[in-house]
Amino acid sequence: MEKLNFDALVVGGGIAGMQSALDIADQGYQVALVEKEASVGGKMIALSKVFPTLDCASCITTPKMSAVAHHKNINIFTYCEVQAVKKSRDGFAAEVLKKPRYVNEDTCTGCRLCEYACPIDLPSAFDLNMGATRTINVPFSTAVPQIAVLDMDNCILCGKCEKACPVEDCIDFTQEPEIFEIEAQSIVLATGFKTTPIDAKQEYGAGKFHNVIDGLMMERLLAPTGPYGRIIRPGDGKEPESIAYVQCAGSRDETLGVEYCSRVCCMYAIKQAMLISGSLPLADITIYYMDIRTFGKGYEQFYQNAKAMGIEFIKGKVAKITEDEDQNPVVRVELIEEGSQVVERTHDLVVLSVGMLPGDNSSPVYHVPIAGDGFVSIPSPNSSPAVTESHGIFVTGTAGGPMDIVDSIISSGDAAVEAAAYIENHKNGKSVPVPAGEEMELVNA
Amino acid sequence: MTRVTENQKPKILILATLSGGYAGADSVGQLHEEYPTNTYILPVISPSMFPEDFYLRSFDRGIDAIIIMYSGTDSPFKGAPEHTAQLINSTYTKMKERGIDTRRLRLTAICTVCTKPFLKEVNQMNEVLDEIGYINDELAVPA
Repeated sequence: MEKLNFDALVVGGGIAGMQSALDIADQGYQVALVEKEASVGGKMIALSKVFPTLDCASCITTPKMSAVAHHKNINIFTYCEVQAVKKSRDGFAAEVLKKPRYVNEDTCTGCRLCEYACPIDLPSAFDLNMGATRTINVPFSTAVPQIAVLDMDNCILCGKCEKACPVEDCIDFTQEPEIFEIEAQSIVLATGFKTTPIDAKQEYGAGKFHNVIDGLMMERLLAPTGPYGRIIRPGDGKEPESIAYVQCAGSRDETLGVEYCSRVCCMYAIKQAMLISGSLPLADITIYYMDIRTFGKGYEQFYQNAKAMGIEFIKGKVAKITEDEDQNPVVRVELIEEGSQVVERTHDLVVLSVGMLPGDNSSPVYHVPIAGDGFVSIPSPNSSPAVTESHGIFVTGTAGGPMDIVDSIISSGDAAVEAAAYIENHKNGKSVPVPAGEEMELVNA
Repeated sequence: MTRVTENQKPKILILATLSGGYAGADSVGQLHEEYPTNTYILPVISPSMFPEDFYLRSFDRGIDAIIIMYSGTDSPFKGAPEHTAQLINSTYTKMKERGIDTRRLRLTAICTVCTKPFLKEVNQMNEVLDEIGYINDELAVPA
């Protein structure tokens, strides 16, 4: 098995992982960045704009993606997953699975001729199944690296991609998964988050209604690189005239086992509402909320601006969503500030402000304890917010708990400093001895 | 100098990177924005693969202006933006030697969502061409 040696291993190539890798590498340490998807960029590269500045999300993310790819001290390993970690006094040895792309990474130029030649259209995962892509594709236009990946499960082996490819033997249908080992003195977990599934709540249609979407889907509709280039209902292509947001549709909900606040839903709903009012000036936008939580710098002013723009905020927890004969979602809600009357309101499109769940429960692999909410446990969140209960393993971004992009970037710097200090101490023989119980071999659960 | 007319507008070749300028041009189309029809957009992986001679031969063949819409620092290819800048720099020297106005060649960073900058670049180049005219007239004058 091939062995590669680095100072630090960063797991996860989203904004937090990339920033941590850059911050560690800038201090002169060698970093391995492992990402399970075919491109780095994480969730952020799919967003339209960021709050509260309304800066273009890809304009922030793309330079970071290029920076990690070009940094002399960073090696990125995309389409790879850490399967097991061994810990010893010398550091960590991570067993990494390299999934087959069925494309030679060394010779693919990213020309996309294979993609254009492929006859099979599939729902685009990047556009959350709203747009289409091909069985073999470069994941999205700014993907890093620009290397195609073939979805073998949906490939009909017609060979058209192979004929279109200008590079000899670049497409390789016989590629097999490979295992290699990364040795590192420190690990930074940046495994991110996933959103509450849209079908989690029966009361909200359990994902069966075409015109009930979630916040990330609306991000893609709003993004200039989105599937339709404008905001239309996925159900029938109609331009919506009335759009409603249902807050806390996946957070602060004991029935879903998510008792915490996801911290970003209020702000992203307000941001999206403002962007929609720019794209569809005549549309009525309503946000049904339990509480509006605008805790960050400039956030409250952002909320007040949204109200001044005419976005309607209604206090009340939506009890149920049904659908009328025209596929319009019907929202049943108690208007708390209007005598608690229960009404049913029809909208053209409903957006569920789904919450954050732990992205990848990596605890069994890394032997890092997790907290009751499912995120990585941080024993001293006030004094050492990047330090986990396992020596040499640090956490950043939403792997440690729900947070927005600003906080993720801040926490990345924190994790990088902690990791660098640990590496330096380790190199100088000053590292804290590994307790007897922690010297072990761990395998994937 | 032959006057630029509506019937025979000067030709602008745009080299647009797949990861930046070409996606930006696509976004312009998706937004139903209008831009002049005298533009010929060529998707390229990276303009760093095009030698200086390519631009000079394009001018010889009647291309009046070339805009390179590359990805700048966003480029997924290591060293490509720096190499492209060097190539364009040396192309400028060769253009000057041949008496070609260097304003006919422009290197600009356009990202996937740069719709307004895309339109601005095309419109600005047309304004320049309105001022300096066709390439064939310029090449006809001995340097």
